[in-house]
This record gives sequence, structure tokens and C-alpha cells, in this order.
Amino acid sequence: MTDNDVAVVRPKQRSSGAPPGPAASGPPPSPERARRRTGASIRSRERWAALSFLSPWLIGLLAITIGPMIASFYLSFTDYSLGYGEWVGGENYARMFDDPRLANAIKVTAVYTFVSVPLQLAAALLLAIVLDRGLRGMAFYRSIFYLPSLLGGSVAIAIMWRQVFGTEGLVNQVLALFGIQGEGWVSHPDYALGTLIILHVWTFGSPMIIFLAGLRQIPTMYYEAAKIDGAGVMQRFVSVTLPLLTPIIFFNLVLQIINSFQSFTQAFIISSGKGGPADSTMFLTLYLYDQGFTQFDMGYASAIAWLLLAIIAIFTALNFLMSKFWVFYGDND
Amino acid sequence: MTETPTPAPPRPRAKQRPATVGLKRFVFHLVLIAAAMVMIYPLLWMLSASLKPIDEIFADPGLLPSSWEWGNYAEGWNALPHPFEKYIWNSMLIVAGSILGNLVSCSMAAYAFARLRFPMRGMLFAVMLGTIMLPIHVVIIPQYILFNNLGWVDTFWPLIVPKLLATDAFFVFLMVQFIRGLPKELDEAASIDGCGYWGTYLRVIMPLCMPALATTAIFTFIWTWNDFYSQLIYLRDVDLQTVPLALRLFMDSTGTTNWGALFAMSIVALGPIFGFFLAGQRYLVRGIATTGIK
Amino acid sequence: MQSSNPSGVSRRTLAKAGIFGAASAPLLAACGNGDGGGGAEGDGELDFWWWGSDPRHEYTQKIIEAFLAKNDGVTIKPSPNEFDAYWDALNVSVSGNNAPDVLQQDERYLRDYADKNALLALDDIGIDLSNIDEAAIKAGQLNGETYGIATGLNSLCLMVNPVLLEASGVAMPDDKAWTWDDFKQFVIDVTNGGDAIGNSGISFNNESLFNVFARQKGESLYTPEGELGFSEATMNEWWQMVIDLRDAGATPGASQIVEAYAAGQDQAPLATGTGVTEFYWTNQVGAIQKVLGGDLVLLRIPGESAGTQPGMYLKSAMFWSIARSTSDQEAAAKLVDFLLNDDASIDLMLGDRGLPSNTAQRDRVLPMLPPDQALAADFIAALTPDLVEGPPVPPVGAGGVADIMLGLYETLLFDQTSVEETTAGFIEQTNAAIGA
Repeated sequence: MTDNDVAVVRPKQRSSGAPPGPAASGPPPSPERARRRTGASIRSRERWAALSFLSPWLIGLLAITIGPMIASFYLSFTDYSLGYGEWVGGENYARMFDDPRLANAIKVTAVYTFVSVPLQLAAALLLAIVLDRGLRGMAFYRSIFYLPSLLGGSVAIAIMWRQVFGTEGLVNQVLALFGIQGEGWVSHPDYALGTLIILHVWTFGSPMIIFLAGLRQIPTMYYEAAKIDGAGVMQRFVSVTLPLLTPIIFFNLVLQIINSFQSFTQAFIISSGKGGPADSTMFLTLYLYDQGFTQFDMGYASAIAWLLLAIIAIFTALNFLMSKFWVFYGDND
Repeated sequence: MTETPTPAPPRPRAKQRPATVGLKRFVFHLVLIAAAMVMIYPLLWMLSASLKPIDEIFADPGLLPSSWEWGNYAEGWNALPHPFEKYIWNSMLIVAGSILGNLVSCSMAAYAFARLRFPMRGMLFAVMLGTIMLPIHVVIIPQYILFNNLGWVDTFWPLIVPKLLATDAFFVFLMVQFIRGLPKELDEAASIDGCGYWGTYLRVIMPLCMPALATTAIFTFIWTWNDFYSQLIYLRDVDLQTVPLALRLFMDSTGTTNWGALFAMSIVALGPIFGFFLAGQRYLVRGIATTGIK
Repeated sequence: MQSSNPSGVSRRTLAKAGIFGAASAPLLAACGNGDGGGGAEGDGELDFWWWGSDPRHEYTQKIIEAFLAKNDGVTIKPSPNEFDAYWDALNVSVSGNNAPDVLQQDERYLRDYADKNALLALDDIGIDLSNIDEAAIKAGQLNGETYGIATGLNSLCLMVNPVLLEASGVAMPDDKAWTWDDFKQFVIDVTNGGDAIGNSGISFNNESLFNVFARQKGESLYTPEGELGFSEATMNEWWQMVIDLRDAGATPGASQIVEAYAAGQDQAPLATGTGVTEFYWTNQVGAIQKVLGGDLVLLRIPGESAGTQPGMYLKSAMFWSIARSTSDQEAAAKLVDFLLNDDASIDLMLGDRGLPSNTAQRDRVLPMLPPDQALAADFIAALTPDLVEGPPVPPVGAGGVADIMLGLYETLLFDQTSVEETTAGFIEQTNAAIGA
């Protein structure tokens, strides 16, 4: 028995036209195996195996992760500051309703997330598909396109970004050629967030790499089968690439939403982390940081963090619910 | 319909080859090169800044320095309490531990979540995702207290041990998605072959997950290499400081910032991650294509 | 000692929250020994933290070596950092009950840390304060106890680029007599006379500069009781001047000001040679001259002789503090004493942490200062006889006031708020921050 026998199963399905997924559900899980052993012993064996595979993660969760999370939840009910804290009940949460800067921070973060994530993912997917071809020089292009993401929160990026989008920056010099008098993009309250969105889209390298890895995992036999069926480039993309890539698209979507809700370093590029001009780039995490580390109000900061967690969790849950309708897994569970 | 996909006969594409394809390819590369210029601009900018005299870095936005200050590199290398290779070495140690930890522990957890059935799977998966939803700034103090009580402040352990324990849920989720994308028939075949769960994990799933593992290794390298915050908190001793911490030592927002040295060493610091990326992306190979058929 | 364990609450708080799980009790008990507030038997191990950039890191290491050579049985773990990162790290380590023994402090945060019992009173622990400038000691006192000793002194000043000034054809003003109106006219004339902008407008959000303005009217930013100490009229006048300058074109447009501020001192117009004047602290002159590649002239703040009293004051550049949880109080005190009073230390430090607060040392090293530090030192020496008592230590929460003022300054520049609304906003937000 080799993988060869397995491999032939799928092209057969492919050739029937439907993408592999719930629509073309495969054979019921392992009938032979079920016949060989009793169901109960398999289940118990599987549980023990799961426990052993999960054990590092479980230890990490219990020892390192969950404790500090609970602690921060507890702190959100105190006025903790530099090592001291008293129980204040729900005061920190009540305070949120009367905090215009917080409301503004939520708005800024939401706009940022819902504009930049789709744009960034579209750019990443497009480039990944283009660069996935086996053409000469593609490795070179991949590296170049990934460069902006390598630089991370480097100070050089901050300085350069201001020189590009500044009042006398590169962008305005180009605009001046067309007789347009540009604004100081990074420093005008109406445009600063826009330049951060551009910055975010520009660092599409990480999702691009993940898409590339995903594309590499699509078995070539599917394409070959589709080709034999006479499917064109576009048709192959729609009926093979896209469905098989949905788990990865879904991953990128979920993670990018989480990440951009937690955007922090980006704002340092424009305002040295002050959220300016005039709070126009005051992200939620930046505001949280300001409260916790500049004003030493860790209690309120923790409350904001849990608000943020609630918001992210709602969007993630929605994402998972909707994924049932468009994400196709190979495991047909 | 054939059972085995025989190598498809060469398509009669030759007809449209001569002129149009060449032109198409040329335009294609032209667009790519233009886009690449936008992407590479910051690197060129940094490179140029690292070679400029200090009074030119901000006053002159052009990319060509008036005089080439190679001395910035020599100065930056030796201006800090330790020569720069010490910081690179410290960073490398942490990166190596982190990559090893993430590859092993995250893939194990991912395999369990993706393929095995056990009680509370859905809930634990939600908890796993939940752990990445809380901003680091509010958990850092409790976590610090924990590691301080273990006597781990001023060691590399607080930076490596969490990776060994799969606390980077990002990678667990990533690999779950990849594994779920693999046809389950592969597991079943392995099972029929007599492979246990470990055998399936090691011999079937991991080889097919090569693209995901490469991605994990690349990202772990880059993120750990650039990670400033947790290294700042846990590595206070000047002997343990790492590259991102060292780069900040050139800066003083109200005093003298050694810009030339800062940019020079920023370029140096890019070397290892760029090199690792170049090497690592070669492993973004076709998992099934190379191991499955042919 | 009553609060020998300042973070006891923190551990209880966190332990209650269950973060340590079952294993927590022995761990917590075990770590209670190390921080007994420095009894007789110290362990001789000092964590020593400071912020700065590479020249400071280098000479501070040498100071440590000199100290160790004279003090057997003491080991020091040095930890240099950059300013912003320093405060992140300090906050976490103090909260985590692992504060460094000897540390640099800043005026903005001194009170926050002292108030939370993180700092040790330095009055009677063997540090020789006999030669330290009276004003420098006062600057670090709260409720009669000294929580930080000034390393050195700075003053605000108006830095002028003499080359650009000459190009504009305007004469150097008499800074002992000039008023704020003179300043306004001067900046407008300079702008009109040349290519460079008269003033880059990035300091009007500096609360210390506003404090000088308020003090000249007999008011102050904060009262000794820790409340706001100025009238609305004073702040309105301040913002009105800002608007007047902007409308006259003597400062850059709103966007450019915000841009230059975010970019930091080295990329602001004075340093890049596109602006003629800006307010800075005297110790910044060296760095700016270096980036500019030319010399600057230091002038006094306008309005010093025209108001009720002079408003300028000497600010402590930074403080030396000792953590209350230090593991060896005696050794920590020795180190601070060495940093402040020893020839070997001051020979290396010179004026880098401000003009030395030790007056005997100050006189001794004056002739040795490099040109940029000498420029600042001469300015301060000439200014000192004309000064009145400095402002009180800022209240708890004052660390956030700089950001508040910046935020409001930006809304004012972009005409999102009027002069009066800006003032009202500042008073409201600052009161909330300082709990007044």
C-alpha cells in the first residue's frame, strides 16, 4: 500500500466536476478500521493519543497563558497601578460608557480593520497566485515583495514613511508634477489613518507567504485532472484553486482581523505612539497602552483589553459561523 | 476518465508562442519590476541613510550620499557595551530555541485538533484562539511576576519555554488549517498500513505539511528576531541583550541619537532574517506533488 | 520598617486571582526574603538602570568600573536602555516586585513612583548631600523626603540659528529685556526676511514652556498641593499667541508642525536648517548642533523682565533614585554617592546628565567641558542669579499631561477647537489625570 492508491481517489471526484468538499463528500470515515477494532477501544486510544499530542500546549495553557489572562480579568475590577490595587467592582467598565476617547479609539480601529484587511488580503492573494508560477526569477520577486514585512517596526520605516507622505514628501512631489497641491498626509487628521491603511496593505508579505504555502499544498493532480476535462486557466482557478485554498483564506481572514484589532506598532510610525494628529490614529491598543503605561491605570487598561477581547471574539465567532458556507476542508468531517 | 492521471500530452500551445507570448511576458515582468521598486524602496532608503553623514540624513531626501560614510558600520559595530556580534549571537540563541519549540509543539497540537476526536475539542479550540485575542500589554505584568518567581528574569527561558509549550496559537491554528486541507484518505491508508497516531503524524502528515512548517519557521525567525517588547522586559542584563534592544541603544529622543550607526546596524540586523527567508522559502515546496504521486 | 514589602498587595491581588495555580504558595514565600528593604546584611548585588544613547552607555560603564574598583564585595548588573523603552521596562519590573536597585528617574514620573512606595527616601542613608545644589535637592522632594537627587540641571532656552538669522537681516534681540510681543514680532520679521521659517512651532505644547509663561504672571502650572495653578485667561492668551503666529505665517502649517513634532528633535526644522528658532532644553544643544552641522545661540525665554516675576527655572535633567525594595541599601547608597560626588564619576559624566548638581564638582569640571556643554553651562551660569524659586514637583498623574497638551494643541492647529475650548479641554482632561 502506498500513497498512490490514495491519490487516485481524488482525481476521480475532480473529474466529476465538483470541487472536493462537503458537496462531494468522500467515503464515510474508515469503514475498514472500524470493522477491525471495537468502537470503544478506538475512541479511548484516540483520546489518549490526543492528550499526548496536546500535552505541551495544555501545559503551556495552564502554566503560562491562562493564569495571566485570568489575572488581567481580575485586575480589570481593581484600580491596580504600579504594584498596588484595590477592588473597585465594575467601576472600570462603567467608566467606558463615559469616555469619548475610548469611543473614538473603537471607531478608528474598526475603520482601520474593515478597510485594510480586505485590501491587504486581496493584494496578498493576487501576488501569491502570480508568484506561484514556476517562472524564472519568481524566488527573487517573492523575496522583494516580502521585504516590507521583514522590516517590522523598524525606526527607519517610520522616518521613511514620513518622508514619503510628508508635506514635502515624495507623494506630493509627484502630485506637483500634475499641478496638484498635496496635503501633509501623515500629519493631517483626515488622512493620517489612510496612510496607515496603505502601510498595512503594503506589508502584505505575511499573508502572501501563507497563501503561497497553501497553493503549494494543492495537489497538482487536481489541476491535471481539470486540464484533462478541458478547463481553462480561469476555470481551473475558480473550480480548483479557490475552493482548495479556502481553509487558508479563512485562516488569513481570522488572523488578520485579530491582528489589526490589536494594531499597535503601526501608529508609532505616524505619531510616535501618541495616536495623533488629534487622536486620528488612536487605536484601541494604543489607548489601552496609554492608560496602563503612561497614566499607570492598569485596572482600566485591563478592562479595555477585555472589551477588545469581547469585540474580537464576536467577529471571530461570526467568521467561524459563516465559514460553514464557504470553506471546504479535505477531511470532510 | 482514466484512473491514474497520465502525464498530459503537451498542449498545442505552440501556435500562439512567437510574438504575443514574448510581449506578454515582457509586460508581466515590467509590472512586477515596477511593483518591486515600491517594495524595495525602504531598503534602499535605509542603505543610503546608513552611508550618509549625519547632517545629511534628514536634510537631504535623495538616495545618493554626498560622501560615503563606511565608518558608520565600523562605529556602530563597536559603539555599544558589547561588539555587535554578541547581540546577534544572543538573538540567534533565542531564535533557534523558538523555531524548534514552535515546529514541534505547535504541529503536535495542530494534529490533535485537526485529526483526532476527543472530548471538549470545540471548547479547547476556542480557548486556544482566545489566547491570542488579549493584547500583550495587560498580561505582561502577571506573566512577569510568574517568571520572576521562577527566577527566570535575566535568562532566555521566558522567551523560549512558552514556544516549547505551543503558546503561539497563531501557528497552531495555521497548521490546523493546513492539515484539515489534506485528504483524510491519507491517514486512513496509513492506518491500514499499521501506522499508529504517532506514525501517521510523523510519516504522513508532517512531510505533507512542509509548506506550513517552512512558513512557521520563517515567521518564527522573523517575529522573534524583531520582537522588542518581551525581550526588553525579560532581558535586562547588558550581557543578555539582543539585536532589537541593541538597536535602541543608539537612540535618545531628547539627546544624541547616533543615526549613522543606527541605520548601519539596522542593515546588518536585516542580513540574517533576509538570508533565512531566502533559504526557507525554498521549502515552500509542493508537499503532495513531491511526496504523493510520480 | 513599615512598608518593607511595597508590592505585597500586588502579590496578594494577583495570587487571589489564581495566576500561580497550586504551585504558587511556596514560590511566593521563597521570594519574600530578598526584598526586605535593605537590612544590615545586603547581598552586594545591584541592578543599575539608566536611559540614554551610546556615548552615555559607554562612559557609564566606565563609571561602574571605577566604582567597583573602590568597592570590594559589590557586583553591578548594568542595564542601559532607550528612554521610552526604559519606562515600559521599569513599570513592569516595579509592578512585578523586581525593581532595579539604583535607577534614573524623571521629573514627570518621580511622583508616581514615590507615591506608590516604589522609591526609598534618600535623606539619611549615607549619601553625602552637603555639596548638592539646594534647588536640585528640593526638586526631588515630596512631603519633606527626598526620593530623587538631581544628576544635573538644565534650563529651557530659545535656540537660534545665527546664520539663518543674519540671512533674514534681523538683528539678534536683547533677550534680557524682550517680551512675548517682541518675540512674536521677531519671529514674523525673521520669516518675512528670509527663506527659513521663523519658529517651527513644536514647543507650544510643551507644558514646561507654558509653565514659564504662567510663572511670569505669578501663576504656575501646578500648585504645591498638586492642583492646576493658572487662570483660564493665561492659557487663552497662550493659545491666542500660537494662532496669531500661525496666521501670520511665522510658524509652519498645522500639518508640518505635527509632522515635525512626531519626527523628533533631529528631524525638526532647527536641526535640518530650515527653521531659525525653537525652544529646547539646554542639554539638547549638542545633539542638534551635530545634526545641523553648525553652531547655535542660546537666548532666554521672552517675558522674563516684563512680568510679575521671572518664570524660567532650572530643571533637574534627571534624578538618581533607589528602589525601596533594594537588596542592599548600603551598597546602593554608596553607588549614588559615588555618582554624585566622586571625581572619577564626574570626570566621565561632565555635563551629559545636565550641569552637575554638586556645586563643588560643577566648578571643578567647568573648564573641562566640551564646547556644546560649555555653551549650556555658560548660559545657565549667567541665568542663575536672576531666577526665583523653581516650581513644585508635578503631581501624581503628571506623566500623561504632555500627551494631553499635545492632543489639544493639534486640535487647535487644525481649527477643530477654539482657543477657549482648547483651554477648557486641557483643564478638564488634566484634572482627570492628576485627580484634582
